[in-house]
Amino acid sequence: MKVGYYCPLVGQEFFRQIGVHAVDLRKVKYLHKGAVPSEYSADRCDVVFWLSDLLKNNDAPDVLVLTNCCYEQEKLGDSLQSKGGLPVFKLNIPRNTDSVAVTYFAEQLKKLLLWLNEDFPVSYRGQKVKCLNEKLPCLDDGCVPIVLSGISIPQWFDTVLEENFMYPVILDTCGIFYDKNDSRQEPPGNLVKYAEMVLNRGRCFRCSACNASNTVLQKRIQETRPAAALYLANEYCTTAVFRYPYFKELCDKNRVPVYKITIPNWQEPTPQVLEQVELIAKIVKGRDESIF
Amino acid sequence: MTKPDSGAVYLGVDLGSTAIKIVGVNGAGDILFNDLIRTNPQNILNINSIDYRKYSDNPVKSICATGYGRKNLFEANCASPEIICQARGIIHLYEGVGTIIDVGGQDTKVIEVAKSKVVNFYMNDKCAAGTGRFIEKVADILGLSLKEMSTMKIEDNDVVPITSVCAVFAETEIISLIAKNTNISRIINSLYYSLANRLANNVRAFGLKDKVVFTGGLGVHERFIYWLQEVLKCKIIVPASPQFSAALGAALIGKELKQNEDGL
Repeated sequence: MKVGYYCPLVGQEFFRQIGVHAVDLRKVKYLHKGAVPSEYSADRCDVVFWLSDLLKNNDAPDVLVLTNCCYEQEKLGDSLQSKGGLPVFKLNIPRNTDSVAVTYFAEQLKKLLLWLNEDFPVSYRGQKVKCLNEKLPCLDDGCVPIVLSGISIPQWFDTVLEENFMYPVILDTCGIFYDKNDSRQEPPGNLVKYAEMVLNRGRCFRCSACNASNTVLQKRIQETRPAAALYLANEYCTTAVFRYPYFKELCDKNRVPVYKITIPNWQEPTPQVLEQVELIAKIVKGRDESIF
Repeated sequence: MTKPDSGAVYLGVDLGSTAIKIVGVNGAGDILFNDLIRTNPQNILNINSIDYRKYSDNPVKSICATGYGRKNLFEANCASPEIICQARGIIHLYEGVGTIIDVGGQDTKVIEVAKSKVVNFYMNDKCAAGTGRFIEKVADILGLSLKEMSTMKIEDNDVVPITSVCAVFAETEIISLIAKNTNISRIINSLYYSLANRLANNVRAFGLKDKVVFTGGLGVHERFIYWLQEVLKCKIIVPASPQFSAALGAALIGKELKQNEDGL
């Protein structure tokens, strides 16, 4: 059985623990044909178009685990469930970290296990396995910009960044606060402790950055001391746009210049986006000397 | 005294969405010539077939490309983002510039410049309203050439509301005004007023630093500049050839790189 998932907060690490083959769908190289699938209206998020098209492929996962991190994902889950094709589990990740939230989250994980058990016997093992966190921000001194995404960073954006910046620190909206030390942590022996660990250590931007006094993000900005910050938003994602002021306020407080890039197409870069990244790179690099 | 490369030509080519602009400068940075070629599918594909020799008999020492099509120009020795070139060209023409407002064929840019450096920018590439392409479309609806539109005598200062923020709906409003027998010059005046207001909102949100320079083809539309100054309540400088400043900047950047390379 192949489990497809989108949110790394309960991603590879959890699925390795329970012994199932899981695929991070964000990393699947697949170009959506561009047409809006007939079951969606044209103003929906193009990440959802991409994802729903991808799920029609022959090598698509057998089951899908979606989270409550955005309205579009929830609607995608509803749409897939109503059609009765791909089995979908909707996992609710609480935004708080108190004991009630931990218990609730552990219950959610138990439900996921039971749901998976209907087709395939799985259990939480709590064994020591090598943890594979998807995007660990590098904390080297040479890091130039910090990239914080209000949306899941598209694959092409990584390439564009690498072409323009020598050491970009990429903080994806998904699992941005994972720490190198966290990745070496041994998994706790039971689900409640695991749930507590996940909620307390790695909060994604969607979950935790909805207030200007976000200490985790502040700490990360202070640690990396970036020369500039990029905020990535999607034209169709209002959530990402609404979160930008909090990020900007935080960067302003830490005297980090911040640039927002709104991408009109999640799957392919437009010339305007490439122009903006190239220009920001030149501005950032030319800070101490004339760019001319 | 003859400069070491006084006979050389350094070209800047701005490959925009509505036109290709070419500027040639000499070794001292003086403008020798400029040219504008309307963009169409043929010359975008055959951009490398432009015969630069028709502009000057002197040897072309460097070609620096800019604009969204800059990567299509294989002959170019170098390429630079349009905003950098725009700023470079304007700083060459005017000292102490604080803000550059550029309305291009498909987007609007506001560039903050300090101490000869680009420090920040704003780009609106989401909406066609207020771009050069929109003006072309309106001129077409009114049965005017761009030159006729930009030089039309505006008889009075009255404006009729063109409220829509969308190019498509604004077009519908203009057609309605024609149907109501509204004077063409009044429609044009109203259109410029509406465009100036829309642009001013973006500029104000970004912030305005003195001295303000306007670039892009809309700069030749005097009435639009009048309204923009009125709305922004500041003096706006428009270069003599506002479409060519990015190409000029590219030519200068190419020249400096080549001269550095040659040890001049």
